Amino acid sequence: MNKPIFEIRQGPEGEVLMSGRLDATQCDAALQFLNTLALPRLIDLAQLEYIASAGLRVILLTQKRCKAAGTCVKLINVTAPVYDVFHYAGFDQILDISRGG
Amino acid sequence: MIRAPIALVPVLLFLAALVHSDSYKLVPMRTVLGLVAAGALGAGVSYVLNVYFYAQFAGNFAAYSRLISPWIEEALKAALLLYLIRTRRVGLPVDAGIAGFAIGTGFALIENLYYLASRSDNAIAIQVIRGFGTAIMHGGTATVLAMISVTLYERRPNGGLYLFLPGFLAAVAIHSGFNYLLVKPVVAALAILLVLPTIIYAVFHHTERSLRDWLDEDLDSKVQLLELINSGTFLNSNAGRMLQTLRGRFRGEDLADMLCLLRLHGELAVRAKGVLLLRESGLDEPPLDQETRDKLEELGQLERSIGRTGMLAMRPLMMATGKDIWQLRLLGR
Repeated sequence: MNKPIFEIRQGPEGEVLMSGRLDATQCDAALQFLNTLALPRLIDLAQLEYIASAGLRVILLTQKRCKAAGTCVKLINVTAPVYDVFHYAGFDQILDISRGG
Repeated sequence: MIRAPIALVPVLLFLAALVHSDSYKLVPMRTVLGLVAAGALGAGVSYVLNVYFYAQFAGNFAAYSRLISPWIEEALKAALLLYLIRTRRVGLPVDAGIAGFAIGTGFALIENLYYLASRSDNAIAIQVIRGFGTAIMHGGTATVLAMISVTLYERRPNGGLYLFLPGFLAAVAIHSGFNYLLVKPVVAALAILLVLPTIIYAVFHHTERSLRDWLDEDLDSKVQLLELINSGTFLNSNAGRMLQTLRGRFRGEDLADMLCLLRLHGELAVRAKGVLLLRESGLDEPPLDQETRDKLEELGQLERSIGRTGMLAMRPLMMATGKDIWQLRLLGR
């Protein structure tokens, strides 16, 4: 069975789970899914292998929506390669990011 | 004096539309206002120069306005744009276009006020139409000059002043052509209104899309480069092999500095693109952190250490285009 390129779903405790590669071809679907949720506070990136600039946009737009509602997005279990992208872009200063074990 | 605002309101609205369409907020409003003021100052200088040169001119005023004054007025606008482009204060057709239109708007404001004061006997409709056409023309020629010049500088970031020539000649041609049509102000205004704003808006939007594409592609490629360097496999990559070909021409410590520069520039380039992404998303930018400030300083020191010859040798790897250099200004460099 082939591993999906990208998957986004809601976990048992309401957290958003992303896996695979969030690149330009997947960002519209990802943003659409996140927009259907009232306020996606927790996004678990433990299974996310790769994030491109389009994916960063998705996270930023979600953060903007949450901030307008008085809350913030928290990214958890971020893998090292994905964390590096957030760090290089300076987004670790505006997003709540915790790295995976 | 109500004629002046009536003539200028459409131009100010067009300028406001350009500024509003600037998704990446490349030109802050205070900069726009400063450029309008600079354009107004340029108009004052052009008045002095035109008075002097007209006194030396053998022909009549119509001939002077068609053959001589466009060169003087466009040269003054070009001087302002030259400063902005050469110092990388603008680096894309988007911000260059806004800067050009702002300068032209300021220029037109003073010119229109002068004509209103000196020819107050003309019918109000003629005054308004003429003023409106002049404002669009001045804004449009400066925008055309700016967009052409910055596009040429994008391809040859270290090119000379000759890169301004095509845009300058285009601006003079449009200006002179408008002055030829001024015997019929309505025709002149219509001609300029139909052509220039459409072209400017089309180029503007195309450039915004291109900027987004460049942002996406370059950010991803820089991240991949950084991953290669950090993983220790860089020297086996195409870029790494290219760097190794410089071994015979540069000292070992220079090559080490080059690798550090490549890595540092990659990190700062991604950081700059982060700024663009934040602006595009409408989120506030945090103030520049100390780590980034230190990296910018280190970048400068590495560039000095490597020297001009070394930087030229590294051109295939980095800093090859105007955007590569311009983007670091987003970090306050």
